[in-house]
Amino acid sequence: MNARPDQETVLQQLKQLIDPEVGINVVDLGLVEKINIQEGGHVDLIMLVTTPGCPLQDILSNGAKRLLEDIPGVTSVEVTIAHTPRWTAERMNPEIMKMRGGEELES
Amino acid sequence: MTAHLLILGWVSSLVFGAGYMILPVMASTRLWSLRLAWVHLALHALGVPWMVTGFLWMDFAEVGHGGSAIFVGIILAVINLMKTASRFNRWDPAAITFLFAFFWLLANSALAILMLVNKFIPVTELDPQHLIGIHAHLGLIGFLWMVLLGASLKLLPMFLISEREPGALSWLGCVLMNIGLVLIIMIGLYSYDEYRVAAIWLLAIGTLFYFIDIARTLFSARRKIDWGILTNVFGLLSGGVLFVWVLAGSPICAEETVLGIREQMGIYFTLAIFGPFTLSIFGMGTRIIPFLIWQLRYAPRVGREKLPTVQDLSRKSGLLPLWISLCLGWLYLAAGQLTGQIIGAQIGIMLMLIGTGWFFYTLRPALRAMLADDIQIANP
Repeated sequence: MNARPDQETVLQQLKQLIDPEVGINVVDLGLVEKINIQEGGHVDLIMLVTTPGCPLQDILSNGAKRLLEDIPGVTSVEVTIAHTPRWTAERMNPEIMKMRGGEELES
Repeated sequence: MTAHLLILGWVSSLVFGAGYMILPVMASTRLWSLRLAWVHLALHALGVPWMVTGFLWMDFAEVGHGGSAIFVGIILAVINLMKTASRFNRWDPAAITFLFAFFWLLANSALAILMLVNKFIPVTELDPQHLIGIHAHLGLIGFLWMVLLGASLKLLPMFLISEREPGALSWLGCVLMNIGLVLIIMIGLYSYDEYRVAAIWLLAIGTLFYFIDIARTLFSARRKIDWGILTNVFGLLSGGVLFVWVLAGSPICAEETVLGIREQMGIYFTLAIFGPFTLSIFGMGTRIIPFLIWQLRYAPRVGREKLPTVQDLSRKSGLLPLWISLCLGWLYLAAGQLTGQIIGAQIGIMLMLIGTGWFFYTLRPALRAMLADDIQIANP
């Protein structure tokens, strides 16, 4: 039986999930709000979206579910899209964020 | 004939298509009935050529038949969109503006049917020219302009990843615009000319409030504003100027002019269709079409394999020539139409055709992805 995955493994796996609009993975984009890994291998993931009513939310949550289910030791996954806290650009990985004119993000 | 071909054939078809795609996105749900949308498409595809052919032969009975098919289709579309919108869990000014636009479309279609019936069986003694005026303003401002404002309010923050969403000013703008449109009807129906200034101010201030919210979105954008978005913005600005100018009693639609009502309406429609609506459709289209094609072709494969991004489905190098040719084209067209210089209008149309070419050049990767059997688009 596979051991329960750790938070780092989950984050590394989620780095494969690219926001198709921005072209940056959801971890570096700051969309991962909370990860809860339970004893039996169940993973609860709470994600944000960049704008309210984002049409990609179902696509991203389904993609995250598929990726996490591939991790050895994960028995089930539940992905929730949260609208609070609001996503802001400050949530992004500063190394990934390219600053243009001080503010703009070039994708 | 040309006005109906352009508005119902070109702009409205796109607006309905966009409405069926955007409203479910706004409501975070699915379209209420895809089957009803297909029936609407069939009625629209049947009605538009029927009506336009009727206008071509000046056979108003045929115009009426085609118009009735379009009208029934519009009723079905509005029912479908309202049912979809009833699933909203969060009402915002973009969604409300969008819905009011379709309400005005329904009201305007009913007015068009009344005008046609009146040609055969007199049901009203109202001046037909006043009714044509109401019909034109409700079609262009009530329906298309409000659709454009609603869509821009919704899509710009989404595409630009803006942290500011439309708020109180857009709500107020929506209220003012609708009161202004009611006044436009009163002026047309009862010749309440004393309301004209109030109507212009209401529509102008309403539009300005929307513009302020859109400008805030642009200034708080986290992504680079490209020339496609700027084409949309130029379209909005040209619309704001045009509508206020026409309502204020400009050379077009002024009482004392050598032009007849048909010529005035022709210029008004041409400038509106090729200005705000074409520019916005092309500008926003450079973002919407790759996005929709990406969803269609790649969404089910997310999380399974490495996929191109939405950005990979368009060529940014085509956006500046697109902006230049469309904006310059519209300015030439406007100058040519207003001064009666045919060469200006011809240059304008030629530039707009070149702009159309750049539009398809920009979208070539998206169109290839849509048509390809096996999708192999390299990341840049």
